[in-house]
Amino acid sequence: MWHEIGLTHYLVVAAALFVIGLYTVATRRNLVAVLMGVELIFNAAALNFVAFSHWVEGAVGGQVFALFVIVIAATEAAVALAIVLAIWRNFRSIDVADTTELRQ
Amino acid sequence: MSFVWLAILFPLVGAALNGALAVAGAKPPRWVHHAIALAAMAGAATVAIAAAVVLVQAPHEARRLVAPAWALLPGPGLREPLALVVDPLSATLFLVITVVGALIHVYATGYMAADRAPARFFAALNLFVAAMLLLVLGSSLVTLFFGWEGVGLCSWLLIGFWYEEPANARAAMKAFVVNRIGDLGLLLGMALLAWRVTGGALSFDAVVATGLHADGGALTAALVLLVVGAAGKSAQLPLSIWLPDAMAGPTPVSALIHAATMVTAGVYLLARLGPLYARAPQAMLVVAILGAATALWAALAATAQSDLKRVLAYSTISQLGFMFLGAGAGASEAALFHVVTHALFKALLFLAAGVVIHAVHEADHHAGEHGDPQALARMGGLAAALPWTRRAYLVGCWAIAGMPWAAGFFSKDAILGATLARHGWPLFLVATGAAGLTSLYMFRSYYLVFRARAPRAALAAHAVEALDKKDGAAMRRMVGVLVVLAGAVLVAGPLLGLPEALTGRAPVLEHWLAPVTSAGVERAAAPHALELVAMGLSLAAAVAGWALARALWADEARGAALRETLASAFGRFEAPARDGFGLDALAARAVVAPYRRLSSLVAGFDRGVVDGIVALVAMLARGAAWLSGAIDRYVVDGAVNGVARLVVAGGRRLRRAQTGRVNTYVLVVVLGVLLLGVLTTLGAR
Repeated sequence: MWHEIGLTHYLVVAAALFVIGLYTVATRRNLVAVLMGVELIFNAAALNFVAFSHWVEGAVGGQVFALFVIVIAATEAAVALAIVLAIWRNFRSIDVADTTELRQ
Repeated sequence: MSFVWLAILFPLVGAALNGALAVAGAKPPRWVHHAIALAAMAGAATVAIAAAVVLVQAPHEARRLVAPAWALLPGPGLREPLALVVDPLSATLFLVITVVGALIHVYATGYMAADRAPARFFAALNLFVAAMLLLVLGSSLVTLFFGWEGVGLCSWLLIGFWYEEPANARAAMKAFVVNRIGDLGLLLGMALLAWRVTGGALSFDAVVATGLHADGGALTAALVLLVVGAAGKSAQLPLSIWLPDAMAGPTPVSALIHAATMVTAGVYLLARLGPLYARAPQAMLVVAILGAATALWAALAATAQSDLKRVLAYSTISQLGFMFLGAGAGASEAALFHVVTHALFKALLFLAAGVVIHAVHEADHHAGEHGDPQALARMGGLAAALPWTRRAYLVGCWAIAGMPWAAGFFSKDAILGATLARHGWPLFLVATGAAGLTSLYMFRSYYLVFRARAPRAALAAHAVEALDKKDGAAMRRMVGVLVVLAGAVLVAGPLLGLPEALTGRAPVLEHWLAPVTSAGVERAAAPHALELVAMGLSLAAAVAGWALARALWADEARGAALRETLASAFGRFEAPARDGFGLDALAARAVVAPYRRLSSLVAGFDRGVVDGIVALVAMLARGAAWLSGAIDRYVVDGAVNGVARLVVAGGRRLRRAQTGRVNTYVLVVVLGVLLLGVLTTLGAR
């Protein structure tokens, strides 16, 4: 049964990564942990790009997209960490349960 | 010739100035009020004299100044220009009103020297002159009516000038209401003229021009209605009841309004429409009978009066009766002549009476006595105290009694002659009897005031000083006016009215008035012999009246026996005569009482039925309003509030979804995506 590692395996791994990332984002209260979850979702997407590029497209377009995803993930992390810092300054907390100011 | 308007403007401005002072409650020195009023009168008199001079210089038939202003009552049907016309008729009265008016104003500055409200008095007096001038100078019946109502208003203001006395206020109200009755006649007459005779125009020119060719019935009816109006203003039977009570006003007012000017307005109206009356013999006969009856009635009443001013008031009514008689005999110019002479001698008599009353009042004041200063019984023997006033009063009596030379002789004889020529002996004898009575009651008042007996102690104390020579500036001013008027009375008669029977020429005034009063009328000249008979008879009556008065009252003690004899014969008539032969009581019973009953009936109807209906409607309206309010409150407001509450409650529920927690949102997003996925999968299959 384990003849060869194929597209399906990659897609399963990517889906697992995505679900783990989503679960992290939805459940963790620490903002940094939420960011980590977001990174996992990015990587799941990037893995899908690469997998489809290799097995379906047969060219390098998907791999280029994966590179872009990595770059954007980095910038996103930079921006998000800046926001986390700003939130820390305002609330002395990075717990998402405490930042409910707009509700009022 | 629009400068004529100034004559009305001056007194109007004077009235406005004094009126403003009165309203503002300003208390400037007394001479300010006097100066304003006198300046206004001087201005008006100057205009009158100027107009008369212009008129005299014009050719005889073209003596007419017109001062148009603007269209009054514009519109279809009734179209009246507002204009003043000075022709010989209006110029005559123009002069009388302004000159006699000015003299009376001068007198009033003395008479009212101690009054508390000079501003109000002179404002009303000036306003009266303005209204009277509008009445006389207006070119149409409409303009005349404005003046007519204006003088009525001023009469009311001035009769009730001392309104703190309820009797005075009542007298003013009575004069006003009785005049309203006459005014109704005037209005109806005007309406009938406009409707059936002239086709809408009411200017005197149009009325006379169309009336001369009009159908008789409507014209006669309209003219009789106008007589009712004239009778109201000129105090003819039965509307004469207001004039004796009008003596409640200050004496200058009695002299100006209730003797010299306003009450002659009716005669003016008759003279103005004289050519029309000449066309309507029935209307003329009504006027003549009314005049004769009034003359006799008032003369009889005057003989029994115990109040000096009431004697003069009844005498005025009687003289107005003579004027009506003249107008009713087709002798408008004789009536007008009597208006002029009467204005002079009656103003003179009233002003002299004012001096007497003033003196009695002052004497009472000094002696600390209280009593009616107008009662004849409290006078007597004043000749020494008031020498000049006595002479002036005697001239007035001489004139009104129709003694030779003085003014009334010529004017009254002209009227009597015309009456005899036109209506024959019955009316003439009635009028001659009234003339004899005139002489009797006037000399009675003269003797009772100035002779009869030694003066009362209070008056005697003053008598030593000869009051009217020494009693200060106010008294001297009043007596000065008397002397001027007495001179005018002596001059006016021969100057204006030497009769044709004596000189062979038409009297000056008659010739002057002819273009107006006899326009389009041929009149049969009375035979001179008849005129001389009339003159002789009336002179005999006057002398007889005087002789009787002298025998009865010249000396109280010596006349006592004769008075007793007469009292046993006529004594029972004295009380009714003093009350004007029950005319007041008759009016109270026949008019006032039924009117009261009618009004209480109407009031009952009003309270019971009209108010009931109103209350019912109100109740229904309240019920409907309550219902509408309930619907509004519970249905409309309920819907609005319900929607609002729904939105609020919904909002409150929905805001729970907005937790502000990122985790929740993410969860919802994920669930939403899953749902979408499921739905698309199902949909794709």
